Amino acid sequence: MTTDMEKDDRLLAAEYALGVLNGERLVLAQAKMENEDFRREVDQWHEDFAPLLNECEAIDPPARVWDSIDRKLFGSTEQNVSHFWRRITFWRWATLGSSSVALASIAALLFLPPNGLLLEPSRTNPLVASLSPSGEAPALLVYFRPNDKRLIIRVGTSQSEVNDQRVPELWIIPGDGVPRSLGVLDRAQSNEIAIGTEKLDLIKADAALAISLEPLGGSPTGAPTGPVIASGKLQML
Amino acid sequence: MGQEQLRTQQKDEVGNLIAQVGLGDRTAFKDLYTRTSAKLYGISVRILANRSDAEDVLQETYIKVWHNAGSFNSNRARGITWLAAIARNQAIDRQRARTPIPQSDELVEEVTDPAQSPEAAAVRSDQVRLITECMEELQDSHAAALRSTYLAGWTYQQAADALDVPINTVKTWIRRSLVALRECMNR
Repeated sequence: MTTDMEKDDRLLAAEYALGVLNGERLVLAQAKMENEDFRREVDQWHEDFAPLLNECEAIDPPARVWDSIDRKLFGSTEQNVSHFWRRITFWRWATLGSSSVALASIAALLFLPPNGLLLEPSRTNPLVASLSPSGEAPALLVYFRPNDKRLIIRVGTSQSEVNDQRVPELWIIPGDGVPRSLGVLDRAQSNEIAIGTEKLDLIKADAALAISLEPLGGSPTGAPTGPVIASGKLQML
Repeated sequence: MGQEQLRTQQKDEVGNLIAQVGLGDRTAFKDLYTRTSAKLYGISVRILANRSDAEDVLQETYIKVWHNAGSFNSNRARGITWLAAIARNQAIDRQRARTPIPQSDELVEEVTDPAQSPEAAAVRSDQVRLITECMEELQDSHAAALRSTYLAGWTYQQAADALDVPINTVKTWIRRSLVALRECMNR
């Protein structure tokens, strides 16, 4: 609790959260939201008022509302890439030392949850990796969703090396250093890859992922044959 | 300060879902909608008194949630509070953008949900006690004014009109209440 906030400011924050302000005082409050102490006070008031909302009866909305939302957000297959990038910039990076895996370079994504505790992967705590071409800003986000055992791959940048003759193939490299294919990626910005039971226990924290460019149809040999364009490690979210 | 930290460390499933939505997880988004839309719709209906408007607002709300989920900070807010604040603000904005005469052309029956959604009760019990207890320490008229104003999303002027008191009176009631509540909740 900020004891050094002016009394009027604290009242202003309360009025702002309550929603009673109008005119100049509203504009003043909106301007003060730039200040972290003020914002925190407003957030606290929101929390404090929240129980009053239990007096509003919950009402099931008609199905058409969800249909509308679904259509508006996901109607087209294009992702909002710049929106995706804003997420990435919140994440901190650390480079690993040399690794036993024979890849060009591996950058680790450190994503610590706000309370700093690493949690067990579960339905609500997924594994995530960001794959970058050796130390640059992340090109791809890979996210393992435990509840339906799918790898979600989202593209954050245009893959300039990918052309008509080559396809990106995703590999997982567990502790023995032997890459196993997880499948060829579609050039769409979002891919979902179902992980079969035989590969499931490979998906764990610290497993390395890599993407190589392969001939159409994927690697003919079952091992990466083309250049590795991105790599990273799975971390617990 | 200690109480704030205590509140936010509680398991917050809705907050976790929002974090996943922030990563672009559509399944989590649908799940979040299923769990929370009834509460948010109820809040919108209460403010707008018009189902068609409330439906529009609900849609806007979840679209906003999708685009802003990455900025949700679980240290500062519980998920359901964050969601409710978005819904409430959208509804209030819409209500204030209306023509002066509110369109209450539909009868809004408040459908009683006998089994209140888990999210309605998701606010910790001691948090409910806190504001409820503290509201009881206020004068009845002050507490009632504050509660109505909050739930309806009124400005001071609207509250004055609705409660049929001078604007300075309602300002005094509410400001005194806010100061008293804060002191009470800090005890």
